[in-house]
Amino acid sequence: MISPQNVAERLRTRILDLHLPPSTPLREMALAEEYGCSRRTVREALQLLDREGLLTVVRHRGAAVREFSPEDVRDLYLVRRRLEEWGAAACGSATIEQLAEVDHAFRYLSDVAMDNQDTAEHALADMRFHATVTALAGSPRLDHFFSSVAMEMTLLIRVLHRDEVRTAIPPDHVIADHRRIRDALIERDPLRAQQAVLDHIASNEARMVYLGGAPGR
Amino acid sequence: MGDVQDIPLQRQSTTEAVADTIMRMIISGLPHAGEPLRESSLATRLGISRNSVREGIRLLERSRPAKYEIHRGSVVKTPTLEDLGDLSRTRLHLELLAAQVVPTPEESERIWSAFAQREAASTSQVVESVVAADLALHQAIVALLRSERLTEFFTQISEELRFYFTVLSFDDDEHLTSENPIVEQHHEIVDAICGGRWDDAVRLLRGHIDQNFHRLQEIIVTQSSHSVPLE
Repeated sequence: MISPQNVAERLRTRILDLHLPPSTPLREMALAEEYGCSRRTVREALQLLDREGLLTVVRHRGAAVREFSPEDVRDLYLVRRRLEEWGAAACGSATIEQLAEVDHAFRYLSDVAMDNQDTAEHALADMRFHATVTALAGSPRLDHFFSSVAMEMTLLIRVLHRDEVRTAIPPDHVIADHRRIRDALIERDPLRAQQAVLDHIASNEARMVYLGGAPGR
Repeated sequence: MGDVQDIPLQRQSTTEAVADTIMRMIISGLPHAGEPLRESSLATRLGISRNSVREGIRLLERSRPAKYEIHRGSVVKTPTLEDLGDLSRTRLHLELLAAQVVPTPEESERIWSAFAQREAASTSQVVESVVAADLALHQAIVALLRSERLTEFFTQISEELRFYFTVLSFDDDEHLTSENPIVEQHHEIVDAICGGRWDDAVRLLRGHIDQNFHRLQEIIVTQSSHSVPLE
C-alpha cells in the first residue's frame, strides 16, 4: 500500500520539476484516484508538503502549489543573507571536514549545472551547497532551522534556474558565482566569503523581484 | 530547596501546576537526568491521577526538561554544556544582529512597552511572570530583524530558554531579590537600541547574554557534579 510519505515524495518531485507549476490546484479526490490510495493518505501527504512550505492551503478551498508573494521572496532572501553570512564569518575556525563538505557540494553542483541546468536535481544541489555554507557556523540549531526552510528555498531556486535557461544565461556563469564563495571559504577568508555570499544573494534577489515575486508566470 | 512534596499546587491550571512541580523535582535532582519519568510513581507521589501526570509531562516536553524516547516513555533530558553553549550562541547572534537595526517609532514603542512589563514583573516576584516578561522583551528586540521566519526561529529558541531561565530562578536564591541590577541592564539595552546607539546596544547585550550564560553554566556544572556526569 502506498504511504503518505510516498505520495508526498512523488508530488514533491513533480512540484520541483515544475510539472505542477505554482498555483496549480491539488485536489484530494483526483490525486487519490491517480495514486490508487485513500483520500486520507493524500490529505496526510499534503500536510507534509504544506509543512515544507511547498503548498498554499486555503480553508474551504483546498491546496495549491505554493505561489510566493513578494514578501515571501524578501523574507526568504533575508533569512539566507543572515544564515550564510553567519556561516561565512565562521570559515576561519571551520574544521577541515566542514570545508571538504563545501568543496564536495560545489563540485556536485557544477556537474549538475553543466549537464542538467533545467532540473529539480540542479535546484536541490544548489540548496545543498548553501546548506554546507550555513553549516560552517557549527550550530545544530541553525542547521535545524535551515532544514525547515530548505524546501521552499529550493522551489524558489528552481524558478530562478528556469528563468536562467529561458534567458540563456550559460551555466558556467552561475558556477563562477558559486566558485567565488567556495574559494574564499576554502582559503578561510571570512570577509571575502561574506562579500561573495552577499553579492550572489543580491543578484538573485534582484532577478527574483524582476520576475515579479510570482514565480512560474 | 525544601522537599518537593511540600510545594503546594496553587497555579492557574492543573496541567501547568503539575508541569511546574515535575520541573522542580527535576531541578532538585529527582528523578535524575536520563531516568524515565514513571507516570504511576509520580501520580502516587503527587496524589493526582495518571492522566494529570501525563498532561503535565506533555506540556514539559514542549520546552526542554523531558523528551520522549520510544519504549522508555518520557526521559529527563540532561542539560549539557554543549547544548547550552549552542543555544546561547544562537540567541546572541540573532539578538546582536537585531540590535544593529535602527527601530521605527512603532518598533521603539513596542520594545519600551515590553520593558515596562518586564519591570512590572520583577516587582511581582513570581518566577513564571519574570521569565515570560524577560523572553517577551528579547522577542521584541529580535522582531527588529523584520523577518517572519527568523522571528519564528527565535520563538522556538525562547521555549528552550524558558526552561533554562526557570532553572536559574529556582536555583539562585538571590535571583529574585537581585532583580534591580537586571532591570537596570535591560533599561540600558533598550535605551541604546531605541536611541539608535547600536554600538552601545551590541556591547551591552553581549555583556548581558554572556553573564546569563556563565551563570547557567555554573548551575549545570554544580548540579551535574552531584547527579550525573555531563554527556
